[in-house]
Amino acid sequence: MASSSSNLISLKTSDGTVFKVERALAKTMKTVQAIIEEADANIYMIPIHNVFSHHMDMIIDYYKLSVAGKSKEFSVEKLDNDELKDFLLAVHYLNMEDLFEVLTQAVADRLEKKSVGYVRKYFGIENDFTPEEYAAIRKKNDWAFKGDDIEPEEDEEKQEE
Amino acid sequence: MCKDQVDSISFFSSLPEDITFKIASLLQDRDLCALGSCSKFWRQLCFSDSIWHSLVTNRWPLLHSSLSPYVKTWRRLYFERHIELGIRAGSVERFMKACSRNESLEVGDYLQAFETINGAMFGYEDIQRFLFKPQMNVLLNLVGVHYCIAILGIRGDDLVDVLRTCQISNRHVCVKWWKLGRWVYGYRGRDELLFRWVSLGDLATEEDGSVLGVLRRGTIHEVLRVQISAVGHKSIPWSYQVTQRLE
Repeated sequence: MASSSSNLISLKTSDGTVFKVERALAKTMKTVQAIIEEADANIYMIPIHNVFSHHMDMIIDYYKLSVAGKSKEFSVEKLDNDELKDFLLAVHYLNMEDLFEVLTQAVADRLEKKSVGYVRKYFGIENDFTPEEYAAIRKKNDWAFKGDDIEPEEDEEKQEE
Repeated sequence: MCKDQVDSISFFSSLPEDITFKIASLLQDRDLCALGSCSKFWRQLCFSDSIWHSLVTNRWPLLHSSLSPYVKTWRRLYFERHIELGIRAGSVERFMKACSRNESLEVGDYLQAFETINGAMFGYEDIQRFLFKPQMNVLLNLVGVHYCIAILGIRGDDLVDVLRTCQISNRHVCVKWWKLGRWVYGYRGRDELLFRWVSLGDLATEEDGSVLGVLRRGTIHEVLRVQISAVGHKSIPWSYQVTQRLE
């Protein structure tokens, strides 16, 4: 099945599944687009590393919603942090601008108004400050937390060493 | 949701730098400071000046163009401006409180408070952060709503949504104004007392802008006095009464 004579492009995910996608969707993937343009002959199948079939499912969902003007309905709430990260990496690899914006914003939203302890724990960031260094930083940034309902240290004690 | 940490690689350490920078650039000041307090890597990233540059230009687009090129970090500038606006809002709040009698404010004082906010060139985010707090006096919220409509050109559903988010859209004020009695057959009639009882949400969607018009014009022409009250204040001080007299 020659891809240039039809409107469908074949993409093979790293878990071996082949997706036939519309050319317009493939165009939103700059990485794929570059591969197509660089090839002299027709390409039958384009392998996309780092992208799994469940990622492609979500990409296709997003594409369908955005074509229908409903891109705001797309949600990644059901993904946990690791899944979101993997998806973000896949979309980043494929170089898909709009979806990349959506996913980075989703990560930023997950960080909104959370305490330092919560952010550390949730994203697995290790604290490499000495207590003095940490106290200095908190004092310096105290102004940003004024007016918060949640105290910035609320979850500190739950943090694992 | 408990996160299974099979290995010690953190969520972020395996993300390429351009992604981590992008995420940090989407954060507001508070969250950026929280993230920057997590570890040395994050401190260095979150407090880098280029990120704070975009925070400054996003929050105060006009400020950017009026800056002289003296040395100051964007982060310092953001911090100083934020603090300065907070102080300004605080002084307006104290001023209004000092001028109020029985939860009511005369329009002259109201307009002075308004001008203080206007003179400091508050932005939309500044109004939300400093004037739209439900624990503040509703008259201060009112100044914010008035400012958004008259100066920032923000009204209608957009403004109502924000008022709802800030939990102040149902707060009410009562605006009273006294108009000079009209001359009829050589006699001056009684002064009229008019009043409107409105919620902040109503004000945002008001088609004719009549209440804000009364506030904006203040005491002028036939309007003898304008008073704004936080709702709940029952008695109307009728201290301005002119009886009929012969010409």
